[in-house]
Amino acid sequence: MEKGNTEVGYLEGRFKEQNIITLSYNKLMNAARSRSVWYLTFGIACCAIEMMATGASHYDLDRFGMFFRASPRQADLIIISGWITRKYAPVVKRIYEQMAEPKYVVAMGTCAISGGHCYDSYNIIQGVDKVIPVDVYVQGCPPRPEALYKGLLEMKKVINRDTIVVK
Amino acid sequence: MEIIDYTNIRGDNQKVLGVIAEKTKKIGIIAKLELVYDQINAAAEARDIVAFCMLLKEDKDLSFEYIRSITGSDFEDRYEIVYSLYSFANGWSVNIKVKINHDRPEVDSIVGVYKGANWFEREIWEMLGIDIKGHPDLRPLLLVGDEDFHPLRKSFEIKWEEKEYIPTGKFE
Amino acid sequence: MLTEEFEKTVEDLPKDYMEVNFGPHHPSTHGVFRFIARVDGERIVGIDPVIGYLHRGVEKMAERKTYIQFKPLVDRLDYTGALLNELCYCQALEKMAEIEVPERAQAIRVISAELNRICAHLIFYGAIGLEAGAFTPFLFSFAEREKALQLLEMLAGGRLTFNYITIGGVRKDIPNGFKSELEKFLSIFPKRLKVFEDLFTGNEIFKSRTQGIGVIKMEDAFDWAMSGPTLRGSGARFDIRKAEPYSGYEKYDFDIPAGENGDVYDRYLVRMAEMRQSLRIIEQAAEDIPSGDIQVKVPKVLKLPEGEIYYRNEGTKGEIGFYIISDGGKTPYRMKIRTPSFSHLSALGFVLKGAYIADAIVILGSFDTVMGSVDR
Repeated sequence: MEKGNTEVGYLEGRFKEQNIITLSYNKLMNAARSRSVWYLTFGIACCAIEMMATGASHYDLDRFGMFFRASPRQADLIIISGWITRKYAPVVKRIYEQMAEPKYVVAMGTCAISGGHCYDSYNIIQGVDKVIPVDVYVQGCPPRPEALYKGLLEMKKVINRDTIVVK
Repeated sequence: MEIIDYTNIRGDNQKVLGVIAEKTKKIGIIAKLELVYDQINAAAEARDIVAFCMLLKEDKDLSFEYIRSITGSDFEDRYEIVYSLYSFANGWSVNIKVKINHDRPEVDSIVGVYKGANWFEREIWEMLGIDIKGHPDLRPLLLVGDEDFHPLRKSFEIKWEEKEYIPTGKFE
Repeated sequence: MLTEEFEKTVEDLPKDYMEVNFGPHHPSTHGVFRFIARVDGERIVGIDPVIGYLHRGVEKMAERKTYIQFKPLVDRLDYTGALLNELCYCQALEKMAEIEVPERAQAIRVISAELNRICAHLIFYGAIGLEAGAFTPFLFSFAEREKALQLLEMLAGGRLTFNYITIGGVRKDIPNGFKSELEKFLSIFPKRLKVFEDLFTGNEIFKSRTQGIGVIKMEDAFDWAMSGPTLRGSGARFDIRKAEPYSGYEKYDFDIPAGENGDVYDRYLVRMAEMRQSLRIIEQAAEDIPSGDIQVKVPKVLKLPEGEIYYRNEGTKGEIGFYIISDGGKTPYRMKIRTPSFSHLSALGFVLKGAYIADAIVILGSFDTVMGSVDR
């Protein structure tokens, strides 16, 4: 690489001639998948406004490769942002089952973690992990956009644990 | 359409007390009126409610065109329903209170007078179990529909117990 | 002629309607709302709305908590403009218990409430852009909203749910540096509003998507219990801040916009004009804030005298009302919450008769409903 050209970051100036890199297939696939997670727009209540604000232009999620998709079949990640009632729990389960493997879940806000401010009501399910399995919990009421970043970037650790090829 | 300016209308509820008392007597409705926190509170019988609301809406001097809310509550020996009305043209507000027995809870529907009372009455039927006669569409609105209790009755208590979390003992 | 006879016979044929489900998970119904539309070709014949996916029983929970313990839950009813809900609740209690709020606290309440109103109307601007098919206004408006939220964070300590207005005053005083930041915001924001208006107001595509659509006449609006900008778009120049003034609003000078035609375009214009009027109120309130206390001494466990009251306020979407029945104890006997979105949604079936499917989404966006306050 000559100086003055566009940089390639990690690989710049490391190799003097044409070379081959050996890497485990798992690591390559996980590194590619964890940098491009498309999330489903599943706003339920107040935390949905903070999720929209995190995806908008001031705090930008597009620079991490995250973009919203409206259909569950095209999304990798579902962010549960709000409280789950008895009427809505079958809908959440059905949408989770419609997503294609591999899929991940982030529970955002205290209402999705354990019931929240209305924990002692007759119509509320205390925590979304009684309905679908959760990978990352982000706390706050509502969590700040910076807290949601930390939660979404923790997904990298979760994705790096996956193995695709080894049976 | 043209724009009608309601900004400078200040209603004096004291003046209209006498007018409402006269007009209800003429039709034959028994109503006790008093002024509480700057608003008129009227106590009426359950069988007169449709005629009362029709009088308040259609009369040229009164013209209460707007229903604000319908509230139902459960006391020890009765149910009470409060209809809150407001007049844009004159700035007056009225709360009509109606008492119903515990044994036979039913009341007439005012959907024929105000179309906006539709969902308010459905909610009262669902939460308190009061039968609304003449309502076109009595179905569960907010609840799932398979419950056997009415949530806002005082006889229904939320039982929430604090359960202690006992770890399973499996380490993985 | 031939076409007339053909049309007459087509009208007489027996029809078989198709039912289309706009499910609870939908990218552009505001929140969790489901309706099943019966369609004849492309025109809607009738709808069957289903709500209740967010019902938590707030009114039942109010009977087990004291008045001060219930206040954080009032925040989360209409979560786009949370301070206005708190203002209505605290004022209802203050009227019943006869507590007088000091003047400095009243001025701070007005400034924070009008800033919150601007934030809520900016969400409407972004959402109606998304529904008419444009993505850029969403990014513009959320970027401007950040500046107003930073001001509110300096003052109240939160971005979405605040818990700032207390019974008898406000919780914290104005910090140093707030006034200079507020003046910067007030000088920049009108120019940004002009950019937003240029994007949509004269735009041919937006006008042809919103003019003449979803027309509501004034008598129907009264009958279906509509209030707020939805009612003002239909020709009634009415505002609770002028009719029954509270918290010092009678001292400030502002206009009330209204629309002539009652369609979606007029409701959009009314909300844009309301943002400018809110800026006027903030300027006048921030000019000289009277000095004094910010909170009056209130007993730790508040007990209200026996009686009932209905108190109302002008929220961001319309009229917020609280009907409180008290029996003299620590907890309320019955607390009924009247929210504007509940009544607006009940009128949806009436407004959507004969509309196209694509227009149904734009009309629902112009009502600007928040499902947290419909289901409570």
